[in-house]
Amino acid sequence: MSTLSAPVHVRGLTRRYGTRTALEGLDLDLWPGVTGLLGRNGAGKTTLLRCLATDLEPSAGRIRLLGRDPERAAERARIRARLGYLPQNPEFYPYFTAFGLLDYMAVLKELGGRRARHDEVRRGLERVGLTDRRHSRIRRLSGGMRQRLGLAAALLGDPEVLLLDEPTIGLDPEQRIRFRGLVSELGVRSTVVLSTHQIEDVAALCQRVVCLDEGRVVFDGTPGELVDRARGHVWDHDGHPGRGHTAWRLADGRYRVLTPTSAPAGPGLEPVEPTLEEAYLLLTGAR
Amino acid sequence: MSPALPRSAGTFARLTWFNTVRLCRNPLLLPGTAVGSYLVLRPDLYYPAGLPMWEGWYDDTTTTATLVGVLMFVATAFPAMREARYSAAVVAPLGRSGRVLSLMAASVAVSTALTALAAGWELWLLSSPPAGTLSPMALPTPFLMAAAGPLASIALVLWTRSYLPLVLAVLAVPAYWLYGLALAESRLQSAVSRVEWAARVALHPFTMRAPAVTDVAAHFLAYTALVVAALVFLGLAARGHRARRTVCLAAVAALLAGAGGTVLHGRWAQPRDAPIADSRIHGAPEEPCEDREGITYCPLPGFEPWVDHWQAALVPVLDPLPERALEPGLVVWQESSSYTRGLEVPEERSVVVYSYLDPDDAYWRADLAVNTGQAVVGLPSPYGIDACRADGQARMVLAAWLGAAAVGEDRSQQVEALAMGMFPRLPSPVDLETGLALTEMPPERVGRVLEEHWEELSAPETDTADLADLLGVELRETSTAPADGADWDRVYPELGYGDLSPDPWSLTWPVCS
Repeated sequence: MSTLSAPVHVRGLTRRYGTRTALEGLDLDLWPGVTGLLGRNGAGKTTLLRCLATDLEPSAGRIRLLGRDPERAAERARIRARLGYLPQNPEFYPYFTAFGLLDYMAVLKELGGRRARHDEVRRGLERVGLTDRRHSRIRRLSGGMRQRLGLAAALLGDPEVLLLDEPTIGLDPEQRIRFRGLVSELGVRSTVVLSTHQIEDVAALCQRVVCLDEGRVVFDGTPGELVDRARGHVWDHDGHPGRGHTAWRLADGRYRVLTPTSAPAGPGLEPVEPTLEEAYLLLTGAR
Repeated sequence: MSPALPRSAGTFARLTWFNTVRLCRNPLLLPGTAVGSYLVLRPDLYYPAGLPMWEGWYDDTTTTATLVGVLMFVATAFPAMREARYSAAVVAPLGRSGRVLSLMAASVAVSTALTALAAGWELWLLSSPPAGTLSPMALPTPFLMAAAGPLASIALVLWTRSYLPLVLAVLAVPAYWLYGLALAESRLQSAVSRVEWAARVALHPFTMRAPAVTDVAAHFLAYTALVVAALVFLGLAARGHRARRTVCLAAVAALLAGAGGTVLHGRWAQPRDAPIADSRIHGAPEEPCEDREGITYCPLPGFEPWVDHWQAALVPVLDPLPERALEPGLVVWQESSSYTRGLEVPEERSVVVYSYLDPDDAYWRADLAVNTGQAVVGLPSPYGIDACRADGQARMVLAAWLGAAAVGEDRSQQVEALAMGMFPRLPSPVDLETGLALTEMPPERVGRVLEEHWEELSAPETDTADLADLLGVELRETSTAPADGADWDRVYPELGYGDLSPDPWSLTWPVCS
C-alpha cells in the first residue's frame, strides 16, 4: 500500500516558533488504529497535533490528510469536516449548555439538518455520560465533565481522523475505562492519534507508539517493540544503586533500576520484565 | 495557508440561523425592544399629535433602530466573546473569519428584524395612511443604524478579547442618569455631554434630517453604509494572517475616509438653511399647487389629502368675508418641519401651514383661521422677521375673531381662540372687549358690516373703536395702551391671564402699516 494513501501522511514537517524549532523534518504515515504519541513536555507533541488538525501552518514540509492537501482552502475545509480534534486544556464558552456546545460544534461540522444533528448530539452526550447534564451551563460543570464534553465534541460525526491531546486529564478511573472503550472502538475504522503522558492508556489502547524528542521521532513501532528494546535494562535491587541511575523505591522496599546499557550496573541486580512506561523512560533518558 | 472558505452556503446559513436563534433568546433583547418601542410610541398612543406622517414614522423608526442598536451592542458581546476567546478548540470547515461573518450576518438579521417589527407595529397602529413621502434612499438607513451596534460590539470584543461593550454599557447608563441629576458644571457632566455630542454627530453628521429629500437621504445612506462596512472589516481585521489584517485595516481606512468625504460633500451640497425645491423631494408632482374656491393650496409632496382638511377648516373663516376680500388670491402653502421649502409664494396674502394637522383640535383650527385672517387683512405674522404691532387696529381684532369663529360653538374655546389670536399683538383693553363682543354677535351681522365696510376695516388706519361703532358695540373699556394682566383678568376672567405682562421685546416692534 502506498504511503500516500495513508490517512495521515507527513513528510519533512518542520515547525518553528521564532528561532525555536518545535518539529524538525518529521516523516510519519498513520493508518487506521490507535497511535500513541509520547514525549516529554516540549517534545513537539502538541505542535504536531495542531499541524495535523490544520490549526497550525507548517514552516516547511508537507502534510496530506485523508488524501487531501490542507494548504488548499477548499480541501482543508473537507478535511476538517472529517476530523475530530480535542486540544490540550480546551476552553469552552461558559454560557453554552452542554447540549448547546455540541449543537454548535455539530453545525460547524456540517452534521446535516436539525433532527440528524440533535440525534448526533444526544448520542455524543450519551457516549461520555453527560446526558443528565445536557442542560447545565459549561461554567457549572467540573473539570472532568468539561474534558468529557470536549471529547464528545471531538467524537461528533465519528471522524476518520481523531486527534486527542491529553484527553484523560481530569477523568476518574471509571471514565477513563469508558474513554478507552470509546477510542478503541473508533480505532477500528478511524486513525486515532493519542498524545498523552498516561502510559497505561497507551499500553491499553495503542497498536503503535511514536515517541518524540526535541521535535524528532526517536521511536516508531508497536508497544511490544518498545518494551523489547528495554529488555535487559530494567532491574530490581535491594538498595539504591547510587547517583547516575534512574531508580525509584518500590512498595516492597526494593529499588527498580533502569540502566541505559545492558550491562548490569553492579552486583545484586535482578533482571525484571520491563513495562511500557519503563521502556519509554529508558528511551527518553529520564533521570 | 490561504484563508479557509466555507464549504457551502448551507453551512454558513445553518450557523447563521443557530446564532440568530441564540441571539433572540437573549433575555435583554426582545423585552428591551418591546419596552423601548412602547416608550417611543407612547406619546403617539396617548397624546396623538395630529394625522400620521411618513416623516414622523421615520423618526420613530430611527429612534427605535438606535435603541435596537444599543441593545444588540450589549447582546452580541456574548457570542462575539465566544469567537474571540473560546474558539481555539474549534477546528471546523468554516474558518474563524467565516464564523465571525456568520455572527455578523445573524446580528444584522436580528437587528433588522427587530427594527422592522417595531416599525411595522407603529405602522399598524396608525389611524390613517401617513401623509408625505419618503425617499427609497432613506428606507435602509435605520436598519443600517441598528446593524452598526452589534457590528461595533463584535469588532470591540474581537480586538480586545474582553467584554468591553458590556463595560461601556454599564458605565454609560449610570453616567447618563447622573448627568440628568444635580451635577451642573461637574466634570462628569462635561464628559457625558461631550460623549453625547460625539454620539449625536456620529449618528447624524449632516445639517438636516430630511428623509423625503432624495439627495439628502442618499448622503445619509452612503455614510451609514460606509461606516457599517468599515465595522465589518474592522471585525475581520482582528484575527488572521498579517497580510489579510493589513488588507482589512486598509479597507477600514478607505471606508472611513469615504464616510468622512460623504459627510463633507453632504454638508457642502446642502447647507443648513438653504431652501430645498420640491423637485428634489421624492414623489413630487410637477405642479405643487391647486386652486380651490379662490384659494391656492400648495401642500408638500404627499400631503395632498390634507388640502381637504385645510379647506374645511377655512370655511367658517371665509364665510363672513366678502368675495373681494380674497382678491388678490390667497395662497395657503405648507412649510416643512425639517427643512426650508424652496417655493415661490407672494410674501403678502400667504398663509403658512406646517406638517401638523388635527381636524379635531380646536387650537389647530383656530391657529390656521387666525393666520388666514391675518393674511386676508394684510397683517404679517407676529412670529416672523417682519413682526409689527397692530394693537388698536380693527383688522387685528377681526383676524382674531375669524380664528374664534373657526373653532365652533363652544364658548370657552372661542374665547381661548380669540385670546390666542390677539395675545402676541399686544392688544389694548378696547381690543379685548371688542373682540369679545364680536364673538357674542351672530356671524351674519358681522358679515353684513364686513360686506359694507371691508376696505375701511381692513385698512391699518381704522382703529378698533371704529369697528365697535360700526357694530353698535358700546365699550366700557377706554384704554388703548397694551393690556396688562389685570386688564386680561377683567375682560377675560375665565382665562386666568392675570400674571401676564406685555412682552417688552414686542413693545419695540414698529406699527403695522
